Amino acid sequence: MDRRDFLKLSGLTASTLVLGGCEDYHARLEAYAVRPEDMVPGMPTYFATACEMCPAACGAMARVVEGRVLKLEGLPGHPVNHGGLCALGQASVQMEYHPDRFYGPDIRTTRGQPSTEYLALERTVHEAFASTSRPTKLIDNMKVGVMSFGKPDFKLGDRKWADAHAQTARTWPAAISRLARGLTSGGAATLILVGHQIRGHRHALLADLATALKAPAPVVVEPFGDDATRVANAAVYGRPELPTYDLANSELVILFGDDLFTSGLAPTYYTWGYGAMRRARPDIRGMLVVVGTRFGEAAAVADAFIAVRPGTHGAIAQALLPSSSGGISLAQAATLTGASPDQIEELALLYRTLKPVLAIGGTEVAAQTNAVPALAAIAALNVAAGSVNRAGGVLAPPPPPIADMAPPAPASYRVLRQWADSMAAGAIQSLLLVNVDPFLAFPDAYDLQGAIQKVPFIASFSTLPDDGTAMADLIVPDSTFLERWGDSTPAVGVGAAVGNLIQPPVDPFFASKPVEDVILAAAKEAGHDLGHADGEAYFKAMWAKLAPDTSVPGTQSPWVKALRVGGISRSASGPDYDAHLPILTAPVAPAFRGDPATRPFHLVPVRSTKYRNGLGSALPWMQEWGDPMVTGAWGGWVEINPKTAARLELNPYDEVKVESDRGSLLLGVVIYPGLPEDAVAIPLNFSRVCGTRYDSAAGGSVWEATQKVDPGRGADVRALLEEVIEPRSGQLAWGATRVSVTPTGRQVPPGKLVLVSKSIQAQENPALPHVIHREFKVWPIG
Amino acid sequence: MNRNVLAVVALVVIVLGGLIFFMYSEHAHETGWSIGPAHANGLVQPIAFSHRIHVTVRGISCTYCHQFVDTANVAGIPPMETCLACHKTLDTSKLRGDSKIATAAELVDIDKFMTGAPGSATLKNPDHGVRWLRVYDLVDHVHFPHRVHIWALATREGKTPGTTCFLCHGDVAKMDRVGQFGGPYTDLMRMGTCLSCHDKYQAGTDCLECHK
Repeated sequence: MDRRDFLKLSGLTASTLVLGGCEDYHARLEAYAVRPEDMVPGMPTYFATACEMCPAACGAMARVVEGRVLKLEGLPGHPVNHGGLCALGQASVQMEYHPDRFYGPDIRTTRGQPSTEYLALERTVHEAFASTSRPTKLIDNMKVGVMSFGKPDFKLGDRKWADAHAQTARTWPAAISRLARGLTSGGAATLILVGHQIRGHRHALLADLATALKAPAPVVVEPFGDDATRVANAAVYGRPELPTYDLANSELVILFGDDLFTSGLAPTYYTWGYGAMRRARPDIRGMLVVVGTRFGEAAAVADAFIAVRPGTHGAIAQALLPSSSGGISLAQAATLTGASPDQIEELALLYRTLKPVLAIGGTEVAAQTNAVPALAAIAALNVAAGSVNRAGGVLAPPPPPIADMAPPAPASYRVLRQWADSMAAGAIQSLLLVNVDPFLAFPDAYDLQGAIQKVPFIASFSTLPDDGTAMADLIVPDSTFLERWGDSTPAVGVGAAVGNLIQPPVDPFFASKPVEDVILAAAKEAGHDLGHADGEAYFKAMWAKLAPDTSVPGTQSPWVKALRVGGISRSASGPDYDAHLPILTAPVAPAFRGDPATRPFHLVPVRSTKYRNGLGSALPWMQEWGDPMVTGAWGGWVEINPKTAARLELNPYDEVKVESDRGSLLLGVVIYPGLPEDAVAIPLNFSRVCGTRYDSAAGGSVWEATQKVDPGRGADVRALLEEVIEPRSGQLAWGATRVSVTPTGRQVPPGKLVLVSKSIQAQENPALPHVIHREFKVWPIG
Repeated sequence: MNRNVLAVVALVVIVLGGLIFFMYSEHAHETGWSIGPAHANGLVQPIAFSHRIHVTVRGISCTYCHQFVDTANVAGIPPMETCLACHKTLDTSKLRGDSKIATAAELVDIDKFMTGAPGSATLKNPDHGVRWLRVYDLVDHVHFPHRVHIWALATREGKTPGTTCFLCHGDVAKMDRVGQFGGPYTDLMRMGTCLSCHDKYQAGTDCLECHK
């Protein structure tokens, strides 16, 4: 290079540097045209509402900043959760900003394939995102699920975003017309499947629609429901409802199965009750004993854990009962369950000494083929101890404040299967999937996909993509519970008559619509006017049934008062149970499918506190959160006893093939001493074929997922389950499968299994007994 | 003088000049390399809004428009309904007479604003507000609650909240176009400015006083 070239290049560099500084870069501030009256920039506004992530019906408080909900917390003083909120409820904010949310309605011409119009819409929305003032930060945050909308200039900061919103909104009339045609063509052969979010008057409205169509009443689908518990309760307490378990005033709680505080129907209520039982009384510290197969979260805080063989929990209960009611000897119970006679004897001593005592059967018991007799034996413990209709025992739940808000009972698996068979036979012309993914309630052993494909018209009302929406001809994007009206009552008794009023703290993030608005509009177009203009008018009319309190002059109307405090509630109990002590037969042995010679392990599907009833698996916070017992995150794993692992020469992260007669899964090994040697446990992680990027094997947004449908479901335990039905209740016996475990000689691919902490693996001492037993500490009574 | 020496001097002048220009530019300010206040001469906003006319001529107080300055973290940009509270009944010919800097093109914008012409900010389309250029854009890792500062300054200076704005923002009442204030602290958006003021008023200087 000569001097001239050097000078030229230097000049060019300097000029580029100077010109680079001349860029006109400014952040923008977009002013409202009309500012909402309750909006103060930078200052949060709090709305009382209710969480709908599970059937517990917790009161919630939404923190809203400039039109965006940023946090959900428990509503202080609410009778269900008493100010607390579980991890799933707190993660529900991620439903709002989920990157795979449906942007708008999608009228599909080919099942599983988004329409070209929807794809164009999605592109528009993506472009709008890309043109926001801080696009990278925003979209990156959405991808990793981090809420960080600190800047006030996001939504209103770009006209493209508003234009995309308006363009999406224009697609609604065609979608409603398509739904109306589907209702007309379906008529009386329309089947409405609903999830747990369809409760209160949302359920009543769909029941009205079914009545107008002369179709069957809506069928509530709950994965692995509580049918066996209801049948047992009806036999012992006289009514099938799920009662109030008054843990707070109990002195001894015996849990059979281990999920009351984590993945049951009202974990926040029971956790509050547990805390009150332990600490709220100055002279009494209630005791907790857990009888179970897997050592879980409740066992970790219990005074004692009695390990039993799968499906033998009922024998322990019967050992505590008098022989006149079918009680068995301690030795017989020890033989059946594998527990030591000393442990059972000490439990029997506690049971006879401490009052009131409360016995509760969990899903580990309900998952077996002997669920009803076992749960009846457990319920009989309460009757024999005089704990029914008594504080600290079992109380009848009061009726809801408004009669038609009563929580609908989920259909049993047997009933669901009958409806699926009807679909397969071509008897169903229109299928409405309302906030439900029916595939979660069926093992892969049943060909639900083949049955659903026979239905000529399927509409799915959903916020996020799942396997149900992938089968739909019409996607109706539902607003989240933070964007719409609604009401709910708890699925279980909580010692009070509770009616939550759900109000929308924010406008819909995308152009979604509440189910009520769409149903009312479509029904009207189909010639069935249900009498209300939209969801808000509907709920106002329903809540107008409540008589205002005229005893105090100037009292607010029930609606206004409920808006302020999140609903209405009053302490109450229902009419007393007419309970009687059943005369039990000898303990019914559980039945398992699979040859013990070739399938030597019991499969223990664990209702995970991370994924719960399926909604949790779509949320990255829930995926990222390490399991409380084994610290596993992101996906599934198989827990194996250390002795078994030593025998099979397995180490953590090793890949094994878990195989039943129905299917197989490749899973990473987690060595966990809280299991019998002849059992393996797999969490129910509810991964999907066509779900979101977080819970499906395919991953990616909806159109990506449906473009490349993955034949594998990831690592969901439903692939292994045998279709065994509990004969007395019709419930799926999802703990009745035997499996084999075969090492593949590989380790799981990086990222497929994340163990947040290695401490649990440090316990992989083969000498560690499979029964974890803490010494009883009997506290002075009185 | 040797031609080589001249060339080197020229090169040094070009490079240093470019660097100084760059460091004075607004982009440099945004990226943290600035050596002076950004757009000190005032930004040309989408609407020819004059703080001088509104504050000095019309006598409107700061808090009429920036109504959250003493109650919230941010002062707040007024919604258009606040503008139209007066401008609906405004004699636009009088407005033109008052304006010293508004160009004809800018007045057309005001007319659009008033009449709701397509593409303009208008009450008929509430999703479409005015896209103001942001004058003060604090970095994300710092808290600056206006509310706290307004009340603290009012207490220390013996003034009422809403009359202390000029201490940080300069004499906005005399500005037709508002830019960043380069007054006694040279550049308001620098950490040194924060610290000197915190020192002066004996406010906390712990990192977490301001940093997130």
